[in-house]
Amino acid sequence: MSGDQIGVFVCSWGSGKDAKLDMDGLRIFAGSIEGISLSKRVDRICSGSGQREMISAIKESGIDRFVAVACSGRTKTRLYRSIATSSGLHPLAFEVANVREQAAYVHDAPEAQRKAEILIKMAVEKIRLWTAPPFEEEMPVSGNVAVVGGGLMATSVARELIAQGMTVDLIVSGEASKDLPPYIFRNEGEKERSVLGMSEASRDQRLRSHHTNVLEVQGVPGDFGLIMDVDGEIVPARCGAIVLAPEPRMELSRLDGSPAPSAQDLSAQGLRRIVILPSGPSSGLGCSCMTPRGMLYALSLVNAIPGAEVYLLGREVRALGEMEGLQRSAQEKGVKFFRIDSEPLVEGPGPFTITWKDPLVGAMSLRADLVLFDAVLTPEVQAMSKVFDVPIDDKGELLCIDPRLRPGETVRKGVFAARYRVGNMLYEDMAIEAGSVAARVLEMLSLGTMEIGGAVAEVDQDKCSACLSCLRICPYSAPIIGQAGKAEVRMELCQGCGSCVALCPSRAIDIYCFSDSQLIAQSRAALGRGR
Amino acid sequence: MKRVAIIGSGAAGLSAALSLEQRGVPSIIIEREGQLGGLCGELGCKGVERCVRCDVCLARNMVAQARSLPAIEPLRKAELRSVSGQPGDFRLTIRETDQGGRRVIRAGAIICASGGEPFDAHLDKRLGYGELEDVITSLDLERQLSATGKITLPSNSLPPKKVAFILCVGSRDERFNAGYCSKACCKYSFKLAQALRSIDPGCSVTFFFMDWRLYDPRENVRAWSSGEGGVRLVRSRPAEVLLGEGSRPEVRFALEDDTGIESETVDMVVLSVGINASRGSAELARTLQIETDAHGFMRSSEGAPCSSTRPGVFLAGTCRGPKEIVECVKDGAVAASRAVEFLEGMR
Amino acid sequence: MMRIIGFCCERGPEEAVDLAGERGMRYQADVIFIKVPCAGRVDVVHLLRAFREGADAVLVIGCLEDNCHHVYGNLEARKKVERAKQILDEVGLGSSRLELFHVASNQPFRIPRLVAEMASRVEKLGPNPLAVKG
Repeated sequence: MSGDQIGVFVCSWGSGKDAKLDMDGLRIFAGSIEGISLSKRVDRICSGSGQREMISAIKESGIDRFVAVACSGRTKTRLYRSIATSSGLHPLAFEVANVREQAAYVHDAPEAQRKAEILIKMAVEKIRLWTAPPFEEEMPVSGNVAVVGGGLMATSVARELIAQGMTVDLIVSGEASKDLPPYIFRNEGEKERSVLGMSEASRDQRLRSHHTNVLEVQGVPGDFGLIMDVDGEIVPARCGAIVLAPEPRMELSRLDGSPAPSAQDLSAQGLRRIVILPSGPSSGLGCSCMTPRGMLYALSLVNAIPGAEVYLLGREVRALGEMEGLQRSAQEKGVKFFRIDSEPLVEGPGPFTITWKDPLVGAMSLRADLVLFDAVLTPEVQAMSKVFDVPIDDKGELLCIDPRLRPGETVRKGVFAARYRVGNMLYEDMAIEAGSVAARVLEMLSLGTMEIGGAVAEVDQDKCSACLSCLRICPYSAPIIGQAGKAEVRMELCQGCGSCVALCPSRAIDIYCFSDSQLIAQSRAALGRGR
Repeated sequence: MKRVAIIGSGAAGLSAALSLEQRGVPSIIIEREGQLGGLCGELGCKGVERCVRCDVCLARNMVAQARSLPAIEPLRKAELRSVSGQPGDFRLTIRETDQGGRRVIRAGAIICASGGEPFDAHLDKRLGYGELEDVITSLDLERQLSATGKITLPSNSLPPKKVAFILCVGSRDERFNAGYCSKACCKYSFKLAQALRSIDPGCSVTFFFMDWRLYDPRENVRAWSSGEGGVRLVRSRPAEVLLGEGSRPEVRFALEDDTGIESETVDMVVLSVGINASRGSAELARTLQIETDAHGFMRSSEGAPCSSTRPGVFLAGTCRGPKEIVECVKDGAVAASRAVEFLEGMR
Repeated sequence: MMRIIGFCCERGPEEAVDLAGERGMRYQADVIFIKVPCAGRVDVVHLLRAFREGADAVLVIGCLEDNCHHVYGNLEARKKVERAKQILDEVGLGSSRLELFHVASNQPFRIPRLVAEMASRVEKLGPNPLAVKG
């Protein structure tokens, strides 16, 4: 029976005069365990010769799985996988007994040896019950990427992807302009636009743009199918990954929400006194700030309009990093900064009166020709969240904030999100965000294949009672109700956390490499119980 | 040659190496110290039971990942001495600081992720660092957290009950050619205070700040401080820290509304130090034949933030300006993209 | 000799356990860690079974709250641990033999403390009466 063709390899780390463990003793101990057909000392496994010894021993002996008795497996998983593959075994047919960090390093000599023996026994019992999981190391993936969003962030991501060999379907929802480039922040200069090279992107053959909404997403990561409505016709598009780049309102705006006028427009209208208020609590910002965006706009006004008086009000001057110098430049040009201690009161229009409390002076008031908000409003993501099945976090944005997910990834595999609301929210921040999200996509797709399967969950359909618990608990939406009316876990989406396994009331789900029987066998071995 | 040499194994360097690996490009990391991780390796987790998103574990986990990938070759205790060859085929001469041996490695592109340095608080003499025992820097505090998870006073090893944070030490300060904001300090100071108060809810905290610049604008230090009691926010840049009553540090500062000068005596003063260009960066820039800016950071090429002024040499992380950790991770990924593009272009 | 089983999530907690070893921290040999992909993998059955097989104490180590790589696996673990504790009290074993802890990957110093905590609880409660000798 295949479960009894287990080999044990004992690394030669830890030998020598200050060794705490008797590695040879461990080899003998392992060899005495029932079902071990091979127990061998090898040269250090991290060295080429140790690996070669293992590979030839496996090939000669006919074992179909092995235990490595060595240091922590965390830094060696790839290594063991390649040893397994080179020996003709399933890439995951191994287990590691970490007798270094979990025994030799933390206990004294006789206890460390005893513990190492227990760890070996546990690893053997675990691998004995191992069954080969579904595993594809090189599933082909599409080199096309769908980028959803009509603004600067979306086109920046698109440009990055195209420059690095992908093709892009840029999907711009209904309201945005039909002319490419779809959106430019009107008050920024040419320099900023060149950072993102949008005009180049718009001429490239590898970019197709669609002015439509996505109705539905089908398929799996690496091979999604997007269903779009284009002028009444249902059009599908295939892509390997999806980037969501919802566009917030980032411009300065008038009180009524319409975009702030440019310096030229203001000059023509003869408006001289402009007050820029910070975004208040209603916009969701943690503090009300004078931002680099506001300062750049103020600078553009004083440069273009002779005699302009521009006032910035806010609690904090939010000029991070090298933007610090912007405040000084603006002040030198005559822009006035006022710290406020309370929400300013605006009366008007025609002309406006703004009153507020200054921490030094007390009550202050200003008359102005024009009042603007320097606001960053949360993008509208409800529809996107629903169609792409990405949850929304407690601040109303697409969920991708776990620090151990790399920046840009969401809980939906293959779906990435580009976000604005960090840093200075200026063009360099945007360029870096776009670049790093594009990099994530390229990491997934640029080699043309991806790995799926491994330690994934699987439903025993006979036992499943279709209670939907697994569908509800899975953070990755991996389970679905299949044709037979029973639950199935899509291995392309499963991340192997095992929550569904623990939750299933019918005990119909198990997980490869961490099965119920394996965990129990490990417990028993740890507690000195027989098989 | 399809390999990238990465200088530095901090958050940016590791991020670049991991990204390159996923793109099928091997890398070799040149790290001066004996272990990987850079400055992030010295920082501690500021959550106690609950994560506060200090992102230090993000950097830490990259070390473990990088070590597990054969395509990433880390050279520890290695220093870059010179670079010859040309873009597409660089020859880097490395000195092994332990044995003094030399080695030449070849790479098609170079990513400089050499990091920055925390401001040396000894230089700001009025704040008492190095004179008063219980005046420490944020980095000292991080090291304590990282080693033991506990915070104690250097003078008597007891936990502090009253802590003052002074922000913008060595930042926004022309005296030290640091007229910029170091971007990360408000964030990490806030998280350090959260850690302090999670460990001991009875510990009171005072922040002396100029502007609150939390990197993520969705975070709200005022909401946190008003809810907690025992947290005071004072908008003032303290004039000095002296030895006060009971040998405890005393912070002297002007009041916000300019009505006078006040003193606050605390158990511990934490100086939130900014990020400067590292001392070796001028020489490194010369070795790499790239330009630096007025503050000594590596200069980006116009319109391309992660490209240096020399083709084939890219920049990531605090070596090109102060950053917080997630920015460094993003920078690494972008620099990797630039390097891959460059190598493709060379074929 | 005590018998303590620790179900240890392979992300943060396992890294912390390895780091504790790397940094030369010491703890009692009585504890054995069993790796799980996420604390949420652990079911009431695994916890109770460990006691039935003779464990004097069981700990489950998950990532910090709000930091589970699988979003809320550590919260799922809490539910299972609470349920198992109820049963342990009902059968007279004592719920304090079982505990859930949250540890980050860069908090290796907590590992010896957790182990010591559980060991001291065992000392108070005595060995597992279900443990079959021999």
